[in-house]
Amino acid sequence: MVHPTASVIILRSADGMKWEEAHRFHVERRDTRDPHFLVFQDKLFAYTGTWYSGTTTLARADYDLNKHLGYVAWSGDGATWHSPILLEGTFGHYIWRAAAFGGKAYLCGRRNIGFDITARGEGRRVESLMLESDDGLIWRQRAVYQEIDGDETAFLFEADGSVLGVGRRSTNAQLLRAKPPYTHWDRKDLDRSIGGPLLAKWGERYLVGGRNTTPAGPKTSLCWLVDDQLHEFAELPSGGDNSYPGFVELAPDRALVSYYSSHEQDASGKAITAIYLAELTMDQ
Amino acid sequence: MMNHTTGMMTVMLGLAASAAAGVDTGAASNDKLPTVKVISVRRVFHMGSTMPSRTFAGFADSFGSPSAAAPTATWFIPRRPSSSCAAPTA
Repeated sequence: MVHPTASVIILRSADGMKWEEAHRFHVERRDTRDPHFLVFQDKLFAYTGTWYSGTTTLARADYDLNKHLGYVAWSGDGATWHSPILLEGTFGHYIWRAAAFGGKAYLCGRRNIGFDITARGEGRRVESLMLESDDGLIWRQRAVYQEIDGDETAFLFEADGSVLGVGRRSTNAQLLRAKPPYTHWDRKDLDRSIGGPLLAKWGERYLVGGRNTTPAGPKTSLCWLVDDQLHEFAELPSGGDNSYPGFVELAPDRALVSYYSSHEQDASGKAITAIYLAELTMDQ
Repeated sequence: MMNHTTGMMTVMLGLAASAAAGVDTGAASNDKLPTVKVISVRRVFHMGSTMPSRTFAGFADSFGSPSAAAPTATWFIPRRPSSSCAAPTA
């Protein structure tokens, strides 16, 4: 459901154990969701895509991708925050993960093809764009990297400026590659669907995470990406609506992974949704 | 199933036990890849059970004099659909 009461809460921790609220923001009449960080130009940006909801909860049949709008909260020191800042150029785009390279910021943004006004919700007639910005606030199109069935995508830039991406689709996820100026994309299907994909490097290895569809239901899992193949190494405690992993390397052999899941229940048996933190160790 | 009203410590112990009981799949199938172990899983944030919650988004990153050995800060961004949810539990 889409709620105008949504808000984004930014928590911080020095040790991964004790957490405190650093900032909270919401957008009037909008549902703030899918927030993602970007460190860019010595600032921390927290981007969110927002559904227009109006004054109350919006029925699913009334979701309108054309009314999506990106917002951000940013801070130069983690103490003073500026929010919510409307992102120019994102109206009608559902923004998602961000990345930066070469003095520019990039966002995954998906939209109805041609801003089709008859389509509701999200169907296959959605294209994915790489949006580009000089300041993290004003955005323009860099490329359309999926002409149809676009969805959540994670980008990872290499030192030479080439970019690797993992894009969710309604079927199997896609591995995406492009070189500057990112106008031509190579796409290759992976062996599974990946909801809310994560793409990161742990040391020199590529790590892919997200929601995998298993016989036991949806599970948040982690894989190595080697020669364009996924090698799963962990399935985290998860169930129901779950995914959106985040990754922080603490040391060459130690890392934290955050994710949300709905596999636990309260005393009445009702599912609860929560954020979890998994600590990983790696034997080199 | 966990009862979040019984306290965070119970939840933490329960989750750690579930991880130790085989959630960690250990080595990847490729012999050239390292073995990764999930040594703990903790619930760090949740909403009250009466909220119409469905999803959170969580993402961690480091900011502010980050170092590979010991980042000075790690950040989370959970989404919550109501302004009247419980405070962070951590």
